[in-house]
Amino acid sequence: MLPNAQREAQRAIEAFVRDDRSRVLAALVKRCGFEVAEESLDAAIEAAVRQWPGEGTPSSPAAWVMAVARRRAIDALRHRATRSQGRATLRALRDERDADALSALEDEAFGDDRLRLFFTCCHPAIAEETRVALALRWLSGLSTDDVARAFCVAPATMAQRLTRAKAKIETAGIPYEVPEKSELRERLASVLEVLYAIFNEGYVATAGTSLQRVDLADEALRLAAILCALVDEHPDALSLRALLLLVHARRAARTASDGEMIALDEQDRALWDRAMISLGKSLLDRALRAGPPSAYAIEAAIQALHDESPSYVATDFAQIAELYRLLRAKVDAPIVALNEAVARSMVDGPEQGLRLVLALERAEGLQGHHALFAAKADLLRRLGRSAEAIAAYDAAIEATRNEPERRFLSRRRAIVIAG
Amino acid sequence: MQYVLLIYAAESRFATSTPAEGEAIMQAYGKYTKDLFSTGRAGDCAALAPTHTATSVRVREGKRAVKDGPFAETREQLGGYYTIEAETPDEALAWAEKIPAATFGSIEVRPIMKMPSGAPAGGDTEASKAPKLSADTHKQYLLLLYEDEKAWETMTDEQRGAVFGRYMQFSEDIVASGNFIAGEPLDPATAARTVSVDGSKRVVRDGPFAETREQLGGYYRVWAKNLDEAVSIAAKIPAAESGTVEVRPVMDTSAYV
Repeated sequence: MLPNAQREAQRAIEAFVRDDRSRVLAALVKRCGFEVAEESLDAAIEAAVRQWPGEGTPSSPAAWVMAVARRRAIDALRHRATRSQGRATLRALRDERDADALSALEDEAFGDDRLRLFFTCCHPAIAEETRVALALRWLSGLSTDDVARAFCVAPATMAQRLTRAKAKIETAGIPYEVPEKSELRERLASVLEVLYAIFNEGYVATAGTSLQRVDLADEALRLAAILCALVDEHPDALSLRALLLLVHARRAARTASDGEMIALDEQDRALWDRAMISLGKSLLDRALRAGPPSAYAIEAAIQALHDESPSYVATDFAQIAELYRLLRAKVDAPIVALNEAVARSMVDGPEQGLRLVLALERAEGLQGHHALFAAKADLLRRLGRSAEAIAAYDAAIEATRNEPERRFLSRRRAIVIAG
Repeated sequence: MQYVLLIYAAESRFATSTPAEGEAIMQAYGKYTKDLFSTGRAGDCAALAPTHTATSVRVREGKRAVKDGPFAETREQLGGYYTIEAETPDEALAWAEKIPAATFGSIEVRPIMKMPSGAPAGGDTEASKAPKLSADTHKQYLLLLYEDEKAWETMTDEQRGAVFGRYMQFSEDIVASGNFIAGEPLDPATAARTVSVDGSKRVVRDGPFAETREQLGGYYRVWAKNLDEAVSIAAKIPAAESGTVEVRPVMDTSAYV
C-alpha cells in the first residue's frame, strides 16, 4: 500500500465526513428512516476506510458511499422487515435504480432533504441539549466521541442520549419534513437557537480550561451558511449568521498567547478580521431591508457597532444602550438588561450604571451570576471604591466555572489592589 | 359501572430484561387481553411506548409550549390501560390484579366519569360520516390529560358546564375529523384504589398510584399523521390550558392479540 494512496484516501474520507456526510444521511433517512440510515451510512464509511487506501479513492466519494450504504440498508431492512411498513420501505429501496438514487445526490431537491434534517433534529419535542448534540452528530458529521467531548460527558452517555433521541424521532413520529409556511418562522427559531448554542459552546466553554473552542464556533458558522442557502436567505437566518460572523471576527484578539482572556476594551483591534466584519455587516443590511428586525438582528447591530469603532472609548455606547433597550422588549432576559446598564454607564457615568446594576441584583437568573458581580466590580473600580470592588471581584471569581475567565477577573482584581 | 385499569411499572424493568423475558411478558399480556375481551366486558385498551418518546404540551395565554418528556419524571410510569364494565368495584379489582404488571408494578383502578347526558364522547351518527383513518397513513397516540383536581372542585356549576361544553365540542370535532379512536373522562383520583400482587398476596390501598397535586383526569386515543398533528390536537384540549397534556405513542401489539 502506497503511503500516498493512504494519505489521499484519508483526506477524501475526512472531506466526505465534513462536506457530504449530512447530504448522504439526509437522502438515506428519506428512503429508510433514521435508524437504518445511520447504521448503513456508518457501515459504508467503515468500508471506505478499509477499501479506499488499497483500491484507490473513487472519483465521486459521495456517490460511492451512497451506493454502498443503500445496499447495506436493503440488507438491514430484509432482516427486520416484519411489518407491512418495513416491507414497503424495502420494496421501494430495492426497486429504485442505482442511477436514480445517485442522481438524487446531484439533484437540486437534495438540498430539501438536508433542510428536513435540520428541522427534524431541532424539533421542539426533543430536549434542547439533545437537539444540539443531534445537530453536531448529523449535520456536522462529528463522531459520537467528539460530541461527547463537546458536552464534557462520557462517550457511552452521549451514545445512549443519541440512541434515545433516534427512538423518540421514530417512535413518536417526529416528521421528516420542512414545516409549512405558517409554522416556518417558529420552527426556524428552534433551528437558529441550536446553531447559536453550538456557537456559544465554542465561544465560551461553560466549564473547562480553553476559553475558545474554535472548532465548534467554526462549525456553527458553516451550518449557518448552509442553512441560509437552504431557507432562501430568510431574514432571521441571515441575522443569526451576521451575528456569528460579527462576534467571531474578533476571535484572534480575544485570547493572549498564554491563553489569557482579553476583554473588548483591551483588545488589539488590528487583529480583528475585517473581511468577516464586512461580510457580517452586508448580511445584516440584507436582513434589515427584508422587514422588522429580529432579536438576532439587534444583537448583530450591537456587535457591528463594536466592530466599527476605532477604539473602546470611541464606541457609540448611546446607540448600543438604545439597541439593548429594543432587544429587552423582544427577549425578556435579565442579562440583556445588565448589558444595557453597562452600556448606559459608558454614556451617563459609572454612578448611574451602578444604580442600574444594583437594581438588577435580585432579578431572577442574575442572582449569583458571575456577569452581574463582574459588572458591579468594574463599576466600583471606576468609581474608586476599591474595597467594595475587590469584594465584588471575589464574588465573580467564585461564581464563574470558566478557568480563563477566572484568571481574567483575578488579574483585574490584582490591578485594583495595586491601586 | 365502567372502570379504567391504569398500569404503572418501572420502565427500567423492560430495558434490562432479555428479549425472551420481554417476549414472555408480551405473551402474558396477549393471553390476559384475550381472556378479558372474551367476557364481552372490556372496552378499550392500549400499550404505551416508553416515556423517553413522550412529549408534553401546555397552552398558556394562547401560546403553545412543547416539551420533551413525560408529564412527571418518576421511576414508575403509566405503561398502558384497559377499560372494563364491572358490576362492583371488587370485580374491577379482581380483573386488575390479574394484569401481568401487578406482580412487579401497581394497577390503579379508577371509575370512569358518568357524563351528564349519559352519552359517551362522540355520537355514532358523526362517527359514521367521519373519514376512516388507518395505520397505513397514521399512527396512534394516547393523549393524557393532567390537571389539578382542586381547581375543578372550586368551580361553580356554571363554570363546570362551560368546561363540559368545551370538551363536548372538542370530542365532536375529532370524531368528525376521523382522528378519534377512544376517550374517557375519569372520576377524581380520590375515588381510585390501587392494587399490586406480592407473591400470592394481594395488596390493596385507597387512593391513586401517585399522590400528586395534578392527576390524570382523562384521556383520548387518536389517529394522527405524525407527532406534529398529535401535538396540534393535544393543544386544543381544555386541559392543555389549565394543566398539561402528555402525548404518548401507542405501541403496535397486534402480533399478540
